[in-house]
Formats: sequence, C-alpha cells, structure tokens
Amino acid sequence: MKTKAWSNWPVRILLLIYSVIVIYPLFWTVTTSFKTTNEFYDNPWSLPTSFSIANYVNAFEKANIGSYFFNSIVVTIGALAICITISFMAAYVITRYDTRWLRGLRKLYMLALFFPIAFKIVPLFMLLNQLHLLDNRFGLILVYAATSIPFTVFLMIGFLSTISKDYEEAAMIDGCSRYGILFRIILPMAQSGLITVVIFNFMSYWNEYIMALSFITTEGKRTLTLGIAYLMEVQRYATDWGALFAALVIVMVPTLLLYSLLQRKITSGLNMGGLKG
Amino acid sequence: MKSGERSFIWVCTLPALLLAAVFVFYPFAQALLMSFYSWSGISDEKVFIGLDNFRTMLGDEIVWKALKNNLFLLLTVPVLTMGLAVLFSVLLTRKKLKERNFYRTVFFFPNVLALVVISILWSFIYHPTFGIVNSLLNAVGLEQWTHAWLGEQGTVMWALVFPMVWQAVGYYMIIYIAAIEGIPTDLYEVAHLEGASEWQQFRLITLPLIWTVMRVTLILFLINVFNQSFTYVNVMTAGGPDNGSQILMTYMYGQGFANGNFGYAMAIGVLMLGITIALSLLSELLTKRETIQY
Amino acid sequence: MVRKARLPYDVEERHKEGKVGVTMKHPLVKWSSRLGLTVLAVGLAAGCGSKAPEQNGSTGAAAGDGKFTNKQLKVAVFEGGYGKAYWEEVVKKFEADYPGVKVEMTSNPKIMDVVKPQLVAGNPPDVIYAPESEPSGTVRSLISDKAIMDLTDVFESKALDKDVPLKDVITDGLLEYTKPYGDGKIYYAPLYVTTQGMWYNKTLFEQKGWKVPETWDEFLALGETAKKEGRSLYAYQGTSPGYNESILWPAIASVSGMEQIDKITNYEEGSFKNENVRKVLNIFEQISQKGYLMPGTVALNHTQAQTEFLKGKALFITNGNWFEGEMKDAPREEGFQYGFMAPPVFAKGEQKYTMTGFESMYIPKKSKNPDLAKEFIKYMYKEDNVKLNSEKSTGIVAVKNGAEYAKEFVPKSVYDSVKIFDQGVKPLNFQWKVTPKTEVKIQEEVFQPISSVMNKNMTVDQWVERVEKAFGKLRDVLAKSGQ
Repeated sequence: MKTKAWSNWPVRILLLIYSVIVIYPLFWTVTTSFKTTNEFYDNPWSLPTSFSIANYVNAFEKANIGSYFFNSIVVTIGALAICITISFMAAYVITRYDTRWLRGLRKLYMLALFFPIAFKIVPLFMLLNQLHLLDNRFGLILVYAATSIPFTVFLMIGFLSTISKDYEEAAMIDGCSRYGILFRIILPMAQSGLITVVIFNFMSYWNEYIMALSFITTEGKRTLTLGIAYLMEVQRYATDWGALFAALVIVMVPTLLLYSLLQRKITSGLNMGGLKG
Repeated sequence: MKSGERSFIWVCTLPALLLAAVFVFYPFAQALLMSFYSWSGISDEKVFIGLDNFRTMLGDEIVWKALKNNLFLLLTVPVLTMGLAVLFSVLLTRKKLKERNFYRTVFFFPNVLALVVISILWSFIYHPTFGIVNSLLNAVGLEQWTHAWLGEQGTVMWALVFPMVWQAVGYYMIIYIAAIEGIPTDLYEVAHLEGASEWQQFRLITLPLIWTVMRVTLILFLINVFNQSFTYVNVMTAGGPDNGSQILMTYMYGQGFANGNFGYAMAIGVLMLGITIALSLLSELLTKRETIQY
Repeated sequence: MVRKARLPYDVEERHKEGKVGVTMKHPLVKWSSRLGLTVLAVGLAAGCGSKAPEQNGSTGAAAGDGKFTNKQLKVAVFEGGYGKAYWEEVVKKFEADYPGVKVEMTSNPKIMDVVKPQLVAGNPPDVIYAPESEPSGTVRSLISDKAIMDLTDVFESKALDKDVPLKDVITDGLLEYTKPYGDGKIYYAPLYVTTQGMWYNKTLFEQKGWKVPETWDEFLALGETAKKEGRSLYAYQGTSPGYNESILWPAIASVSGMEQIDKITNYEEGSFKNENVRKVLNIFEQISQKGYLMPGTVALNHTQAQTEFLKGKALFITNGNWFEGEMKDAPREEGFQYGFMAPPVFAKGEQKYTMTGFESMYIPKKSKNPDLAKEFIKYMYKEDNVKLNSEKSTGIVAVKNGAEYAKEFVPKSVYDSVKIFDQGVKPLNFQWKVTPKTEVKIQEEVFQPISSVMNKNMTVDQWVERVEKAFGKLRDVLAKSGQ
C-alpha cells in the first residue's frame, strides 16, 4: 500500500479522539473514586488531592460490596457449569447426528434466540415462586443457564462442525464409547470454542441486570450489578458519590482484568462465533 | 439407528431441552396466554377477557410513544454503531498504523463493562451541573448549548443512543476487521493499479465482501438493542421525562410489577414479540443483496 | 442509621420502575367527598358500628394470655426512613405481655417484594406496615383487589390502656381517610403522620431581609431578586415531579375550596378544566417561562435536586418533613437552616392549606391469624408504645398529641412543620378514589406533565386536556365495575 505518510494523520487524530472518548470516562471514574464528596462538589474534574481508600472501605463496609461480589461469583460459575455442559452435549449431538427430531430441535433453539428476555420475566417470576426458587441464588443460576442455552448451542454448533469426523471414527475403531469420544476426544478439541463460549456467557451472567432485579429481593443475595444500581438509587449513597464510584471500579475491575488476560482469545473467538452464524 | 445411539442422543439432548422447556419455552407460552386475562398478579382472580388488553393498548398513548422510542433506537443505534465499526475496521486494516493494536484493545473496552455500569457512568457524563458534556461546553464558551440532557424531551433519546453505540462499536469492529482481513490483498492491488480511489475500493471490494457478515450481525444486533435498552432506560431515565424515553419494555415492566396489571403487561409483551419477529424478517429481506464469493 | 427518607425513596424507586401509581403517597380526600359517595355505605357503616366490639381486645397485659388459640403472628415491616429499631423492641414487649405468643417479624426496605410471593401463594403475613406508595405497587394492588381486612371493629373497640374507643385515640379526623371503598368501613390503621410543604433557608432570608412570601405574586416577585443573586426561585425533585403535589393541591384548595379537591379525587368531568385550577397550573408555567426554575432540575433525582437546594442554588423547594433527616449527610450552604412554610395563596386572607399524609398498617384478608393481628395493631397505640415509637423511629405517630410525644426526639424542622396547624393553616389530605385495575396511573398523568411544561414542550391547556382525558378513562373503569 503506497499511502503517503502524512495522509495517516487525519485518521490517527480521529482514532485518538475516539480513544479519549472511551478512556476518559473510565479514568474519571477511577480518579473520582478516590475523592471525598466535598472535593467532588468543589470540582468534579480535578484530580484527588490524596489517594484515600476511604471510599473503598465504605463500599465494602456500608454497602456490602463484598457479599454482592461473592453472589455474582457463585451465580456466574454455577450457571456457566450447567449451561456449558448441557449445551455442549446437545450441540454435539445436533451436529453429528441427522434425524428429523434433531433438525427440529436445532430450529427450536434458533427460534428461541429471538425471544425478548423481558417478555418472559413476569411468568418466570410466577414460576419461580411456585417452585420456591424466588429470591434464591440457585433459582437465578437455573434461569441464567436456561436462558443462554439457545445462544450457547448455536455457537457450539458452529465450532463443532469444524471438527473433522475422522477423529471420532478412529476412536470408534479403537473401541472408545460414545461418551468417551464426547468427553475425551471432542471436548479437548473444542477447547478454543468452549473458551469463547465461557467468556461470552461469563460476561452476560456477570453483567446481567433485568432478571436479577426481578427475582432477587433480599439484600444479602444481590449480585454486583443489582447492588450497584441500588447504591445509585438509595438515599444514603446518593450523596456519597465516592462510595458509588468506588463500587463502580470494583465492578469494572474483574471484567477488565479478564479481558486483558484473554484479549486474544476473546477477539479471535468472537470472530469464529460471529462469522459462523 | 442402534439403540445405544438413540439413548446417547437422548442423554445428550434432554438435560438442555428440559431446562429450556421449563425456564424458556413454558414462561414464553404462559406470557402469551396471560395476555388474554385480567389479573393483578397477587389475587386468585384471573378473568379471561379476550382481546380487551389489546384494545386498551390501542387507546393507550404511552404504548405508542414507547413504540416510537423503540423504533428510534432500533434505527439509530445500529446505523451509527455499524457505520462507526465499519469505518474503524477499514481504517485499522487499510492504514497500516503502528499502534493499531492499541486502538483495537481500547475500542473494545466498553464491551466488557456491565450495562448497569455504563448507564451509571453516562448518567454522570450527562449530569446537568457537573457532567462532562456540559462542563466541556462551558469550558469552550458554548453555554447556550448546554442541556439537562436526560431531562429534556428533545435530547433524551439521543442521549440514550450514544452510550449504546459507545458500548457496541468495539465488538462489531473486531468482527469486521476479521472479515476484511479475510479478503485477499491482491484484489486491492489490482484495484489500485486500475486507479480506483480508496472510496471506490471500499465500495466495490470491502463492502460487498463483508456484507454477509454484516447481515448476520445486524439481526443479532437488533435483538440486542431491543433487549439491552431496558437497562439503559431503567437506570438512566426511568422512562422520563414525562414518558419521553419510555420504551415498551420499561412500560411493560411498570404495568406488570408496579401497577399490578399483569395481563396488560403481557399484551404489551406480545406487541414486543411481534416487533422482534418482524425485525428479523425485515433485516433478512433488507440485507438479501447478492453475497459475493471470492 | 441514616433516616433514609421513606417517602422520597419510595417515590423515586417507584418512579424508576416507570410508574407512580394510582394513588401516590398519601391520601387526601376530604370527608365530605366520602359522604357523598354512597348512601348505601352509610347504612352499612351503621350496621357495622352496632356490632359488638370484639372480645379479644382486652386491657391488661396478661389478659392476652389464653385468649388466642393461634399464637403465631407474622409481621412484615417496611424498613424505610423510620428504621426497624422500634419494631424490634415492640415485638419483644408484645411477646412478653402475651406469653406464648411468637412474633415472626421480617423487615426490609423492599418488604413488599418479599411479601408479594407469599400473597400469591396465599400465605401472607398477618400484619403489614408499608406505605401505600411503596415501589412494588403491591400495597396498591392489595387495596384495589380489596384484599385487605375490615378494621372497623378494631377502632370501635376499647383502647388497650384507656377507657375510650380506640378511634378516639387517633389523630382527629384522620380515620376518615382510612375508608378507601366509600363503604364507611376502616381498612387502614394509620401509624405515622407526615407534613409536606415548602422549604427555604431561614438564615439566607434573614440575612438578605427577604420576607417569606404570603401570596403567589410575592413568591414570583422573589424570582427576579433571586436572579440578581445568581440563584433560582424554585426547584423540585426533577425526575419525580410528583413531589409538586404539596403545592398543587393546597393551592387549589385555597383558591377553590375543598369541594374542588373532592371533585378532582372523584375524577369528575371538568374538575380539572376549571379556571381556578388553571390559575394554579399557571404558576408552574410562569416558573418555566420566566426562567425561575433551577437549571438542570428536570434531570436531577430527588437527592441531587435537594442537595443543590441546600447549596443555595434555589430559594424554595417542596418536600415533606422527613427532609432534614434525609439530607443529614449532604453538603450545604454555610449557616443553612431549615425553614418550613405553607404554600402561598392568591389573595391575602385566603385559607392556607398544607398537605399531610400518613403511613398505615394493614391486615391481609387471607391472614391466618386475624384476631391476634388486630390485637397487635391495638397494641401499637398504647401510650408507652407510641412514645417508644417516636423515640426509636423519630416519626410522629398518628395519635392525638403525637407531635408532643415526639417533640424531644425529632429534628426541630419536623416539629415546626406540624406546628403550623396551630397558626391557622388547615391540613389537607388528598386521596384518589380507588379504582379497579387500570393502565392509567393517575398520579403520573397529573404530575409528569410538569417536566414537559418546564421543558416548554407543553402548555397549560394541553396539561388540562391530558388530565381530563385520564379522568374520563377512570370514570369508564369505575362505571364498568358498577361503582
């Protein structure tokens, strides 16, 4: 490409401006989290005069961020384990066997991709109540796992169909059972696809809000997103900006960390998933 | 089919199907059914009222306002997001900038943040007295341009569009970058030799070749915009001012959970469902332009 | 514990969820409106009143022993601005006074979210204390579903520690607002009373030599004065414009009389499309047109708007007497002092009104233990418990002399806000007529347009039309249900 060097500058400036638009609000959140309420009122733009961690202490002590954090982890891991296991199995069978029933199943999951989540909130509320799973973390786990089955199956089918059948045939001849093939041969081979799915689902569970809002009422069972929205709402913290921003930072950190650790995986997985559709 | 095979198929598909049946398909069917009832959600009194809820909906101006707002978001957010995403992906692939990995990483950042966090963050960005937007305008002497962004009917919907775009651009950019990288470079070489401008190259080579990808992403994106707008509106404006940013989902939620009007809420839900179905059909049609193989 | 404003919290939360329900916070109908409702109701009430007072309500502490076969009592408590300290204490006392009784008390800032599933499952608590305006809308649903128990016998029976019927212990006139169905029967047991009006910074007014406005003209005239000082005249709770009710209804009552308020609460045709009402609505339009509203108000939530007010950005704001407790930790202008006033009037000499409200206890119809629940409610009105309540909750209990009992425990501004009724101001209690389920949220239809008026997107005429249209829908709903 023979672009003249100077012609890159307008592009570069454009990209830099957008970078600032992305980074500045995040930077502002972090700096504000170290400021006192009065400092914040004097000048919301200034840098904190000292790096006091009082806001973080507040967020943990008064605002119970610690238990919100724990709940988010429990719910996310629980839902991931259930959803990935059963979706992986279902997706494998759907890709490998061709029966009318499986083709129908595949269509059914495709269809379910288009259900708006909010639509089922109310009946789900009633259902969970009947099952005594309302305001219950296990209930939330089941709902999360179930809700992402269609999407997970859809993505997994994409990955699994790229794996050649030869491996299975060879294993079959070696006397490996179907379950053996599934878990000992296919599972390791689908690893990169699985990781992508795990990352996607992790993000969506960790960041989920509507269902948690509707099904969790007890403060001790709140997840992080719920807790932080509550912090923004509730009186005593609405005038305590520092604690709110500290809480925001606490929510942001795990996902940003995960992202920077797995950046390559995420972006390449995203392409596989995104393109296979 | 061997019986071992059959049982294998059952063992593998049943758990997922069971869970989905209970927590996805059943509530879905329930919701459809409830839209024909009058029910407060707490009493035993469930009265079948046929299409009355739908009739009420026709006369409820807030529903129409909400629908309009939904459509506004469905139109503006994807157009802006995909426009920016395509622009950035072209710039990052065609201009061989040294620091392009930096931009890729940074632009993707918002995508990993919780929507609630983004919503709260942007509420502060728009804050009328100390928000970044107004402070910036004041700093450059454009006081008359300052607004109570989330509090005025004229600005609130646009104010909701930007965080949604901000959140999604990076994601689509990454997908498009991969699509563009998959285009053989000799196509561009030839075009260049024949004297095609950058714009012509984009229009004649890049765009047609990533069109398939865009089509797939468009459908999923529309559904996403539809689902995610709830969080933004719920946290940032609660539908205000004066229903100025009310969307079907928030209105449905309010009618169902706060106004004790479950049946009516579900009727609104059915309207929403109709829209998503229409949307997926529409986007399928709109983007059914010839896909080009290379 | 911060005295998290219960009301603002509710209103805000409620608003969040995209609603402000059929009846907002506190009720306010005048008695005469109820009288007019049905002749039949009077007959029913009489029948009820003549019923023998219930036998359970005995005086002595130990007397409760043995009277109740079911000794399990479930109590659900809204944990808001008044906290839960009182409830924890009184439950212990009750158990001690009624040996063998076991009270299971649950408290939560979102208590009705906890109660709702129990209601659906047909296993509700026996006593519920929650403001009608609580965010989940469940209390309003309970009311409109008529799923709460008639408490008339409780108030007709003798008080536990006095030789008078319980109804004579309650704040004068208040019980008239506890009869939501116009059948003359009492369904709410009022617990706390609140006052809502206008607030200003006493120190500032004294320093500048400004007079607290008596009339709306004087009020608006202060707008220019404020501008010169770089302040605004007025602020309200932005995203929750419903707070303006503490101005709107008293102003209408002052200029048009309580009859007008009665017509409005009954959704009478033309009751809003009325010259006097328009005059009141014009005040809002003038605030908007003349630029007297604090900049940015429309986008602020209630705490943010109130903080800006405390910092001196606006001269006046509307709020309830929970204000001082609610904003305890907020930054403010040097020397700020809470000043409370009744909303101005149009002409000097007109009757001034100030809105009052109350928060109640309810017994769900499906309570498994109504007898003990009623006894528990009566127990709340024993003098020592009233004092205990004010001490622990810093609220004013809805009994005669409630303010005096509370005086030593509550912030001065709370006491002041109640004392204005000794200075010729009349209390106004506003309560929308209860309707069956409907999509119309009348409180929103009346107050949400204030945002539009302030944004200059709506005229007073359009505002009036919108409310009249909603009234029409509600009349249809009522007609359909045969009320």
